[in-house]
Amino acid sequence: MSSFEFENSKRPEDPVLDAMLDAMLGEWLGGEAHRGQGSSKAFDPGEMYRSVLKRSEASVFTAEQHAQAVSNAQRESLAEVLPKGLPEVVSETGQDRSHGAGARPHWRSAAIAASIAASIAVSIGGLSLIGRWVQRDLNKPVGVGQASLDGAPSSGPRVAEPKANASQGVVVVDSQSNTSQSLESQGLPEQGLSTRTDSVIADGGLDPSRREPMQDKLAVGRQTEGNQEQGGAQAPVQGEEMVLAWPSARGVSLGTLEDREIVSVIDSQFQQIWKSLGMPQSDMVSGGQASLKKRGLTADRISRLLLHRVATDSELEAIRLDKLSEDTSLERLVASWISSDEFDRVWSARLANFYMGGRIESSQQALVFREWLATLIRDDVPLEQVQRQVLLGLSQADHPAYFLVDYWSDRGDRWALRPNSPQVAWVGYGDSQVKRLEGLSQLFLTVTSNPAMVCTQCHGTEGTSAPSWFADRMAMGTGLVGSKSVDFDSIAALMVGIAQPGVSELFQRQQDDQVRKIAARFPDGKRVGSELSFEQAIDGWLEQGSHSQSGLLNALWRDFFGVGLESAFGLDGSVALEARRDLVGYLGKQIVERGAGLRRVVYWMLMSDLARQSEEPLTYAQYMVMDPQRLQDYLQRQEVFKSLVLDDSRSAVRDEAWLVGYASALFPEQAEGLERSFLAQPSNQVQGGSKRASSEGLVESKAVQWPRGLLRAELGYRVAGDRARRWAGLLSASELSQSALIDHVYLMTKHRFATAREIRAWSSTSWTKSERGSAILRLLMGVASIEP
Amino acid sequence: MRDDLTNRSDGLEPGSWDPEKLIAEHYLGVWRYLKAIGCPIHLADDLAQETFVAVLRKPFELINPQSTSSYLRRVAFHLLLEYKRKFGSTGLTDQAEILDRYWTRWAGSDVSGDRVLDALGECFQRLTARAQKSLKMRFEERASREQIAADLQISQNGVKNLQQRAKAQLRQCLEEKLGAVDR
Repeated sequence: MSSFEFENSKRPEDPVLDAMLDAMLGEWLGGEAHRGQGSSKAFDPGEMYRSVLKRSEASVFTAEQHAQAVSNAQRESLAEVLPKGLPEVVSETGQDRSHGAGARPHWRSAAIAASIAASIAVSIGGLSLIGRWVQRDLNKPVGVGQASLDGAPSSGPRVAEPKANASQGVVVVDSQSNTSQSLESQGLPEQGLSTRTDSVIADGGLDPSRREPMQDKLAVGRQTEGNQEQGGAQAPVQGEEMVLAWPSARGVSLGTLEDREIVSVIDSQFQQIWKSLGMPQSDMVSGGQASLKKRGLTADRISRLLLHRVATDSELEAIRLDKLSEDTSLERLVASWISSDEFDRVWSARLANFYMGGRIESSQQALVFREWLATLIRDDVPLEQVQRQVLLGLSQADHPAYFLVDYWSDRGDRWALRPNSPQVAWVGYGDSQVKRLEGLSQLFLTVTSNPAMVCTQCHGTEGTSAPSWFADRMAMGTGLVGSKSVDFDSIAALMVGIAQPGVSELFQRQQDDQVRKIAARFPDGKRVGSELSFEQAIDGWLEQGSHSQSGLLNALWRDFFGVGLESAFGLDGSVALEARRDLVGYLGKQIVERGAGLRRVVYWMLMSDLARQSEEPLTYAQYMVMDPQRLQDYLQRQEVFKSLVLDDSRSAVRDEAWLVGYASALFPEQAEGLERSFLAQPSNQVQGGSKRASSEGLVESKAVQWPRGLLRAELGYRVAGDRARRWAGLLSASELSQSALIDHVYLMTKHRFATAREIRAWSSTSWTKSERGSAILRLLMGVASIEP
Repeated sequence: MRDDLTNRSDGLEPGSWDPEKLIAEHYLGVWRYLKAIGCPIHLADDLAQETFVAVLRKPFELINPQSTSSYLRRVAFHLLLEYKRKFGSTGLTDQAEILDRYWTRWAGSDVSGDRVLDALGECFQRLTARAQKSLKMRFEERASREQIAADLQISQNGVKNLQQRAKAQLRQCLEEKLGAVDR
C-alpha cells in the first residue's frame, strides 16, 4: 500500500487517462501543436479557416454523416440542460454533463417544480391519462426550457419555438426555413430518444434487452440498382461497417439509430403486452444473436411481407449459390426488395387502396394515380407530404389525385339523405352535386383519419340530434375532442370549391326555413377565414386534425401484418387496447416528426419482432379437441399479434359468390360445437368456389389453414371488447331496417356504405333469424374481417 | 461548397454568425479535445476541420462561447465515432467516452482548453525534479527510454515506473484542480 493516494487507485480508467495525459504533455512539452512551449506550429485562424473551406470540398464524410453528427450533438446538448433532479433523463450513462452554460440553478428549480407536479399527477392518476409514453415521452422530445415534464403531446399545431435564452444552451437555426427553432422542434434526435427510452425502461415500458443493434436482427448492405434487378444476389458487400446503416439504392438510409430506437419501442410494447397476457416468451426474439433463418425471417416470409408474393425460384437459388452466409445473402436480398420497383408498385397499390376507400378500381386514371404514388414512394417522399399532395391534388384538374374527386363522387350515390331525414339538403344543390360534395367530404375525412366524423352527417354534434354514444365516441380520443362545431357540413363547406369550382360558400336551409351559411372550420372549431387559400386550410387540417396520420399508419399496419393496430370504432377487441392506441400515437408522431416515407415505415414493421413471430396455424384436429379455455387463449394470442395472420389471398379479387359463401359460413349462428365444424372447412370453400369443400377436404384439413377472414371474424366475435358489444347493443336497440343495419356496419368498419352487391350477399343469409344483438356483433366482426 | 459555407442568407442574424470568427475562437478547443480523447495529431486535424464543416452546413445560434464549445465537442465526438465506423478503429482508443467525460469536466467552461494546460503546467511543477526531467526528455526531446535511463542512471524499468508514478500524480493533481470546479 503506497502512502500516495493516487498510487493506490484502482480505477479502471487510469490507464486510459494516461493516454490523455500523454497527449496533453505532448502538446505542453513537445509543442506538438499550437501552444506548446516549443511550438513550431503557430496557430493561424486564417489558415484554419481556409483549411476548413478546403476540407469542405474533399470531406471524408458525406453530408448525411455530417448531419447525423450534428443531430446527435444537438440532442446531447439538449440533454445537458435538462434538470439534474430527474436521473432517468440525464443520467443514462452516468455521465456528468454539468459543465454547461451555468444553467443549473435555473434547472434545479424547474426540476423541483416538475417533481412536485409529477407527484401530484401520480396521486390523482394523471399519468394514466397521459399514457404509457409519458416519460418525457416518446411522442415529443423535451424542449429546451420546458419545465413541465408530463410529456403530454401537443394538441395544437407545431409552432417554431422562440429562441431560448442564453442559459438554455444551443439553439439551432433551420437554414432551410429561415426560422429559428428550439431543439424541441427539431424532431426527436437519436440519443435523445435513447435517453428518454431509458426512462421508459425504468418504468417497465422498454426492456433494455430489446435494444439490440439493428444489424443483429437484419443487417444489409448497400445495393445497386443493377443488383436489384438480379435479386440482389450479386450485390457487392461494402464492408461490415455498412451494416450499421442501410442505405437503400433510393437514397434513404434505413437502419439508422433512429430506426433502431423506434423498432425497439415497437418490440418493447408488444413484449409487454404478451407478457401481461402470460404468453410464453421463449420463442420470442431476444438479443438478436440468432440467425435470420432461425428467427423465422425466411426469404419466403420477407417476400410475402414486403412484396406480397413468395420468393421466386431464382431468388432462392441466388441465395443458395451465394458464397456468403445465408443470412448475409438474405440481407442483401431484402435490401434489394425494399428498394425495388416492385416494392414501389406493390405498396403504391396499397396506398391507392387507402385513398380509394378499400375499393378496387382499374380505370386508366386509377392506374395513373398508382403510378404517381409509386413515384412518391420511390423518392421517399414523407407520408405527411403524400397526404398533403393528394389532398391538394383534389383541387387541380391535371393532378393524378384529381380522379379521386369523381371516384368518391360516384360513391356518394348512396349518401343522398332520405326525404324524411332530419337534415335538410344544401340550398341550391341538385342530387348529383350533393353526391359529389358528400363523396368528397367523406374522402377528406378518411384521408385525415376522421372517419367517425362522417356520422355527423346524420347524427349532428349539436343540439338534441347528437346521440350520447356519439359524444362518447368523440371523447374517446380519436375524434375531434372539444370541437363540437366541426361536423360533416363544415367539412362539406371546406370542399365546396372543389365540388363546384367557382363556388366558395355553402348554405343550408334550416327547419324554420331560414337560410344559414355553413362555415368551414379547422379541427379546433375555428372558422376557416375567407382570406385563406384551400392549401392553407388543408395544411391546418393535416397539422391539427390528422392525428399524426394515424389512419394511414393503421392502414399500412393492416396491410403488412394482416391485422390493424386500432379500429376506428373500437371493434378490435379489448386486449391491450390502450397499449395499441399508444403505439399508433407514437408511431404516427414519428412519421410526422421524422418525415418518414412509406419505405421507412415498412422497414420499422419488418424489423420488429412482430414480423418474426412464428405463425400458429390451427388445424382442424387441433380446433376440434381444443378446450374452451385453450381456444380463448389462442384467440387472444391472435388478437395481439402473437401470431401473424397473413392473408394469403390478399391479391384475390373477391366476387359476390365468395361473399355469399363467407356470409353463409357465419350465419345462421350455431351452437358452439357446430361453429367449430363450419370453421373447419377448408379455406378454398369460401374463396369463390373454384375448389369446393368435400368430405375429403375435411379429412385432409389437418394441413389446411383456416380461412383467415372467417377465423378472424370468429375470434373477434368471441373476444369482442366492451365497446364493440356496446355498438352491437345500440344498433340492436335501434329500429333500423336490415339494409340500414348492414349500411351502418359497413360505415363503422369500412367507413363507407355497403354496395348493393354486399347487401344482397348478407341479406341472402338468415342472419336476422338469430338473436339480434348477437347477430349484429357477428356481422360487425364478419365485415371487419374482410380484407380490404 | 465554398459558397454554401459562407452564404449568410440562412436566417441568421447579421453579425451573429461569422464562420471565420467561430473557427478562430473554437478551433483550438476542438482540436485539443480530439487529441485528448485519443486522436493522433493528423486525425485531430482532420476531424477538427470536419467538425466545422459539419456545423457550418447546419448553422446554429451562438448563445455564448461555452455552450458553443460544448456543442462543437459533441459534434467532434460523433464524427470520431463515425470515422471509426467508416475506417475502423485501428490506433484509436475504444474508451473515448471516458476520456470525453474527463476532458469535459476538466475543461469546464473554458473554450480553448487553456485551463487544462495551465493546470497541467502547475501540476508539473509539483513533480520531483527527476520525474520532470524524465517527462521532459520523453516529450520535449523525444528521447528513448534507454536514453532517459542512462541519463537518470536508473534501469529502463525504473524509468517506466517513474513516469507512471508521475502521471498518476498529475492525474490526481488535475482532478483536485479541475475536477470539482464545475460540479
